[in-house]
Amino acid sequence: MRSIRRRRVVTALAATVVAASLAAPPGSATNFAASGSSIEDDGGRVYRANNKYHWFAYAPTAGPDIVGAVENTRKNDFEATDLVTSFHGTGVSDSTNWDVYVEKCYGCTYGYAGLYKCHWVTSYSDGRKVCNHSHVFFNGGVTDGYTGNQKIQVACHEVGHSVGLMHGPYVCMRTDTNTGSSRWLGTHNRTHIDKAY
Amino acid sequence: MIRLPLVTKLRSHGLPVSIVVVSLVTVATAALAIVVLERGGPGSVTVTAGTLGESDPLEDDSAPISSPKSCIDRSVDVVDQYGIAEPAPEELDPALGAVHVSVDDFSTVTTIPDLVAKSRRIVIGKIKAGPCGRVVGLFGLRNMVVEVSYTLDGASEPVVTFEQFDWDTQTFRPMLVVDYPQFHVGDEVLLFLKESDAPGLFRLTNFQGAYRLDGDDIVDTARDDPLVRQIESLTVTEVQQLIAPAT
Repeated sequence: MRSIRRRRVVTALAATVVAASLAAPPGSATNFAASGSSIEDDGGRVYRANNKYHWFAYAPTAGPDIVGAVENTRKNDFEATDLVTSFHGTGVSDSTNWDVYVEKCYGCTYGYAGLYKCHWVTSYSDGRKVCNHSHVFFNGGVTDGYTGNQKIQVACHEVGHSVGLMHGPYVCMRTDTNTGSSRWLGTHNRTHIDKAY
Repeated sequence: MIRLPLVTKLRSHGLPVSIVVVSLVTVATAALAIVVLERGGPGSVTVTAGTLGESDPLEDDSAPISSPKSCIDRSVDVVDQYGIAEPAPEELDPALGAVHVSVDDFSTVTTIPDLVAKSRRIVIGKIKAGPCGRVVGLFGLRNMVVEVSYTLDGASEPVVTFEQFDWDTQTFRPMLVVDYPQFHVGDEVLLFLKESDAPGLFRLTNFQGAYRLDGDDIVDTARDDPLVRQIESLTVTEVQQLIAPAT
């Protein structure tokens, strides 16, 4: 009788642990911004987007190659998640109304191929911080020499930051190489996005 | 008249009620004062050696010398370069805080020998000054002057200067870059550097080249990159021993 009771307790405990691990926020695993990311002490942080609706607009400086690369990753990767993405035009001068505003520039990124900036972080009283509005830059001095697939990898990486993905070994969020072969979001990143939104 | 049990008990022991009450109030007030002081009460500023605890040293005119003044230059003309029509705001909203940035060139490495091979200069030293530097595109930079105590690789010079990200030329707000520690004057550092495109200046090889030291320990900055984790788990002595055979 006692052994049966003990077994039931162990089973219940195991079930609790499994349930807790499944319910754990994505931020508790690797490479996703925790919803409670409130530390702004030293280095920069990547924050989740403020909601699941992710609007894209393209600056006049973003040529067809950049628009094509970002639209490729938006439609094929990010739209396939629980995010709801939408295209709001090219040649858009107003940079302020969009979740992701994409630009291309020359000599602007200190030599880096791509750059993500969160311009507007909202802090909540419970410690959560989210990004309302981000910019993605392609350095034409570097990316003009890239293949289409390499540009898509940059696009996937920077848009990944805009929804809260951090650097990691998972496909397009890797930081070591860009041959274009890691231009996909991948299952790991997609799972985190789906849990977060 | 209502007689409280405590009052009755005190009187039965011959203790004057008024003195007991005053004593209790005094003790409670002192305890509350200690709690408030320890937590940093409303409006208090925690001042420790050389740093201001709760204020932003970049915006605070009364900051000590080790807290550099802001380099944000609102006269910088970025309109032509980026097609941004808005001029610099007349007043910055402090609630907006810093702009958070990730810079990506897909050049990280996985081993210390690879990091050494990508670096032109590897030094241990102390940051002695941080004057304002160039404006390069989206970045306002700060020149961090390092008094070198030990050169692990590259030409040995008493001082090296590297460029650190400091402010955002689009929003005229401070800039914090993902995975790049923000160094300050007085920090002891281990740096893997490569040449900047400005003569005589260096830049970090990438975020894997920036470490803050605490004596012989390398400070854990909780960055996720495996090579950074590996290096931050070592002591300075161990890094020296590892880099010597790699060069």
